[in-house]
Amino acid sequence: MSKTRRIDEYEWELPIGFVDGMRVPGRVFASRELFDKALADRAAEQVANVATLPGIVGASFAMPDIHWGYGFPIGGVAATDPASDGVLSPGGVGFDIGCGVRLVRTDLTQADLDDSLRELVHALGNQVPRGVGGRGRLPIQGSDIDRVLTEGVAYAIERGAGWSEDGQSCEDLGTLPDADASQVSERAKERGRGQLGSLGAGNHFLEIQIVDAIRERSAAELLGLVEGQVCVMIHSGSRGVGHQTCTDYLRSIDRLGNAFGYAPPDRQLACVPLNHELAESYRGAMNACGNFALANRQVLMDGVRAAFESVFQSSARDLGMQLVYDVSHNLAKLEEHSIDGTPRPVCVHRKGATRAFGPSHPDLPERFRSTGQPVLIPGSMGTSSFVLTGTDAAATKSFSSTCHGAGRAMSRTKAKKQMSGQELRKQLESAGIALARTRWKLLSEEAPYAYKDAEDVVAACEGAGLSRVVARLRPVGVVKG
Amino acid sequence: MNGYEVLEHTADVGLRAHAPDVTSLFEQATRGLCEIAGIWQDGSGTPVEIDVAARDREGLVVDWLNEVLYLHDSQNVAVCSVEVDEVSEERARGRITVRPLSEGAETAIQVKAVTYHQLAVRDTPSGWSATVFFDV
Repeated sequence: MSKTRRIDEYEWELPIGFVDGMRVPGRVFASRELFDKALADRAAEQVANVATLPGIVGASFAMPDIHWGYGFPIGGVAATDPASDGVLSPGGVGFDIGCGVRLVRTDLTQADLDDSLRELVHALGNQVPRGVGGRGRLPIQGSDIDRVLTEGVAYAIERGAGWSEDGQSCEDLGTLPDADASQVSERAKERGRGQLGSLGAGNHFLEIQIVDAIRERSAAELLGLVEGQVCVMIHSGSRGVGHQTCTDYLRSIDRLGNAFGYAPPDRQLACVPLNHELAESYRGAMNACGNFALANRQVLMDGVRAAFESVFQSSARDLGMQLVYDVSHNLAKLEEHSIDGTPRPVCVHRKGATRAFGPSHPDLPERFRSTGQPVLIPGSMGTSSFVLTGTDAAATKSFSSTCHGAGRAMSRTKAKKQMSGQELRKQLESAGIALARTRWKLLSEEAPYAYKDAEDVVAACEGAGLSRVVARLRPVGVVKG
Repeated sequence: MNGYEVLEHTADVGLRAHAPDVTSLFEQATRGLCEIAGIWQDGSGTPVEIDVAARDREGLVVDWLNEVLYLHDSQNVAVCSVEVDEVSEERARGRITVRPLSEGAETAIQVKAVTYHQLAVRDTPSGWSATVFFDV
């Protein structure tokens, strides 16, 4: 195994030879402390494994929130070139296709919550189905599932869940192109029909947050963010329809064995050439699931607006509850990037990483030309979350990608051993954070100490030039999935 | 040796099942998955046949367990028992019994899917073992 090399304060190289078969080096963006954590679990080895994928260009990248995943590390970014037999790997997107984050603003301030925080958290808990097997707020009949998969946010809005302008504040304007519902299996659709507008479980959550620091005033102003303001962050994905779709395509690709002359170092890295019909089918299905995830967060936001309306006896419009932005952090996208100085379309896999176009990127909507693409980074329960914007430098450094969250640092078993759910509940409540009723014994699996500090992660992203910090938000109410 | 142990992972969770024969191994892995997910409920239920094919035994473990997850998630059911009749190199057959997951049941972590990461099925002198990781 070759040794790692520090390139600068926030960039590390895993040279070719770190594991056998690497076609490009690995590049990890991290402070020394975060990089040491990546080496301590198996995440760095996974960065190197991804570097063996056929047609990978540049490097196998990892963001500062990198941690051990399955196949790809979480926080992994890999671009593959269709012109050089590049591949598409469903494992490089993950099971929760299109999982992402959205942020809703309000005109309320913390003082407005003084008497109503508990009632609000309770109302949100009631409006938002969650947990294992949770049924969604917007059940779908028959073939309407195909419309969700094709139209994304637009379908939810047509069903009355949201405002006509909401799509304008989503990546891809709320509808991923090239979605093909016919490539999503009946099994996946069956799982999806009952789950539109449900949070799910695990690390998915909904939080009431207060903007407690503004670092880039003009960008914050553009996004409608001011210090002291109440916001709501939603973290959820494509639920069973995405899980089943990834499972279906991994099985199909696995059954081909090493038919294309590539033996992956980890079976979860199973892949097919981008020009193979199975890759085309998966891409259509993946984009369809991405649309389900977008629609899911849209319906969840509709529940958030309804909860605020019931508690504050005022319309969501009067409360100023505009959508700030919505990002996905588990997708593979065909994007044009400069490869050896020539712009070429490549397939950028982001597994727990967020697209972060800089101000000059031609695909960025006019509205964000002065700031770059907004990026939303959820903290761990009880710690700060962040709003970032993309930089032009990220285009050459990381295929326009940045981090996606705090990143886990401790297994669930260890986290539970450190503190019981009830103890953590008391600790959070004494810190002024209200919690919606949940399965308390599971609470400490998602404890803040089980994660890296999101502050360190976004600082490393900024230090590496991948994104800039616009605002910091601290939680005051948590509805855990 | 007949049973399973939970394997730690930074973000996810895995299990290593042990059994004297390969059909019992699949039964132990099923029980392990369902207990990790909190969807095992002893008692009587409705039988559902499972019949999966893959290119090897490792692939069969993944497909079998994914079938159990699919039944749980699509029908909102708990698993009451498992019986595996046959596991060859490329096919596994058997059944689980299921019953509706009771409202407000104390389920544990949500298992999204079964992965191929570090997947292994071994026939050793001391019996069979299977290692499998789940995305949670």
